[in-house]
Amino acid sequence: MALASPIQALAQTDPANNICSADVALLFFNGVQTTPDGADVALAELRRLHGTRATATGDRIRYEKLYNYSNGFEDFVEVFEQRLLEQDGLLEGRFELFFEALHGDGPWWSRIVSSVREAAGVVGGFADWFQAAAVRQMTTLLADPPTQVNYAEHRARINSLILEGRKLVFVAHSQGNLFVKPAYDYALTQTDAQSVKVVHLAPASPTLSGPHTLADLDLVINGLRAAGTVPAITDQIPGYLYREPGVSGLKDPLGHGLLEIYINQSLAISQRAKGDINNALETLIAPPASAAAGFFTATLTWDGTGDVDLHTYEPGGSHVYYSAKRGAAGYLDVDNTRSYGPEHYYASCEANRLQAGTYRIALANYDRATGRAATVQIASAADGVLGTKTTTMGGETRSSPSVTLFNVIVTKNEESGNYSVSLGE
Amino acid sequence: MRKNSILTIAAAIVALAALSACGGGTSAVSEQATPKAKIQGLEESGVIPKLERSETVGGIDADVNGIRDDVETFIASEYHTPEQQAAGRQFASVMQAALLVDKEDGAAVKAISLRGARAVNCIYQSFNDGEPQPAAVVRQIRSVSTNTKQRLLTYLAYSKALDGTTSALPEGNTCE
Repeated sequence: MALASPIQALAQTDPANNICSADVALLFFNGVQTTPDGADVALAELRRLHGTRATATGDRIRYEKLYNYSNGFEDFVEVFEQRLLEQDGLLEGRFELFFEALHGDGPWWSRIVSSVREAAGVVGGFADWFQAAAVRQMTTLLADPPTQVNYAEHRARINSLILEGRKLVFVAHSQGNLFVKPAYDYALTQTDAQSVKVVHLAPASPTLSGPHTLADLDLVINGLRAAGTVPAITDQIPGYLYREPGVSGLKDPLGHGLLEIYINQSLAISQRAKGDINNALETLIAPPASAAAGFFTATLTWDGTGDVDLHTYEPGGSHVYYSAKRGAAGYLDVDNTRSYGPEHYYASCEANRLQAGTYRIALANYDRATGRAATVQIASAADGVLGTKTTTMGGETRSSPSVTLFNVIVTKNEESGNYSVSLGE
Repeated sequence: MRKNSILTIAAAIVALAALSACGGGTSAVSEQATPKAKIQGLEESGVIPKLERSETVGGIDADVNGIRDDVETFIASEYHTPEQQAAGRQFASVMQAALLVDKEDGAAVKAISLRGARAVNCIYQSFNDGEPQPAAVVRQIRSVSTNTKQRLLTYLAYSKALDGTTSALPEGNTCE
């Protein structure tokens, strides 16, 4: 792999003009029955706890979610519908109560039950069913766990972060622990164990890659003991009646929730998770950077031998590719001519160099890459991954791109001077 | 594991909820009213949300601002400062877009999820002085936006379309 003076490129970044940077990526793998906005809330709460800079090292921390949906989530809605029909349909159709019911109670349920005692059995019965269903979900996943990072976007993102020299902390909760293992195993093929660490919260599998926290009254994880081995309990938590709610205002009778239990600062158990994450932040060593972080980046990989080339057409007219690596707004700082990639383009983090307009990202099969599946991921400093696309390369076209994968649009707000980036048609 | 069976927990939920005196208001309905009438009374007095349950996923948005009208009313009554209400509306508009987007259009789904992260960050910026906690605000707006079976299942379909994706939580001011 031919490297184009990455250290020199980084040294050219003027800190005073730098509009994007981070040293550590904290990657969160969500638990069961989590919606995307719920995972964003988890990130926000982790950021409240750990800040945007690591206390001991001063490293800047970025928070990203590697989202995994719970198969069978829809079944919970079907059962909830049946529960709402109980007590002569007292609460029929009131699906706004669903997300509180997932945690056994909440402010709206409390107000309803205060006035209508008959409603109490509805939510209690749902909690009964929920525990058994959650255990079944986890059992199914354990029986057929992800054996590789089979999400192209997750894998490509881990690749890019390591390429850019970021330290990585993987924080996994509940079913997220089953996805973190293949992600961690993959990361270790790209970097050393000193640059990526894992913290497990409510893990179901006894195969761990880092420290873990498990509550004695976590009825979902401990409910799996009958079916197999789960990690040792690390902490006792108060019983449901004596528990303070988490920042969500909920208590979770199943003892499994992230906000309600594992990072609930009113419970002593939260100090273990906090300490494990802080320890990871303090002891990580950055991998060598082969590529620079950018206002946005384009990272190309492909699935075998041959030479696929990344071409970037900048708004000002520069065509950036292997033969002209330096553009006006950015740089091709990683080029690969043999196999698998990566190739990497970054748009400058310097406000006085970045260009507003459309950046066209295209690919060419320079040599021997016919039929290769080529993946390009566009990521921004602010939002993380904007998009990931995979295409099958056609015949050789040497230096002429055959396919455009993305139009990346950089916009400057003239009033504030701030830049933003999005994907165009 | 200390003994704390799910039956005991279900009973605890019942006991705790029944004894709970928490609430945002009182119902004007008498104790002699039927259970359903009591529930309706809670709605009318604003103790629980009063929501529209039309058969369409999008519901009623008479001013076509991308936010369902009843959700907008809920936000106006529940959150007190203009900044907080604006943050609530920003997230509500993302929820509405998530319900209406073509779930097969991966790029469109992804774009909405990025807006969602910005909206959640905005809520965390705007609700930073105690109650309600921003995590509760997100849940409340998600809940009122998905208040029918069809809307809830549609939102889960949107969530499923994001399986395997990744995105960052933005920093700084992301309020629109």
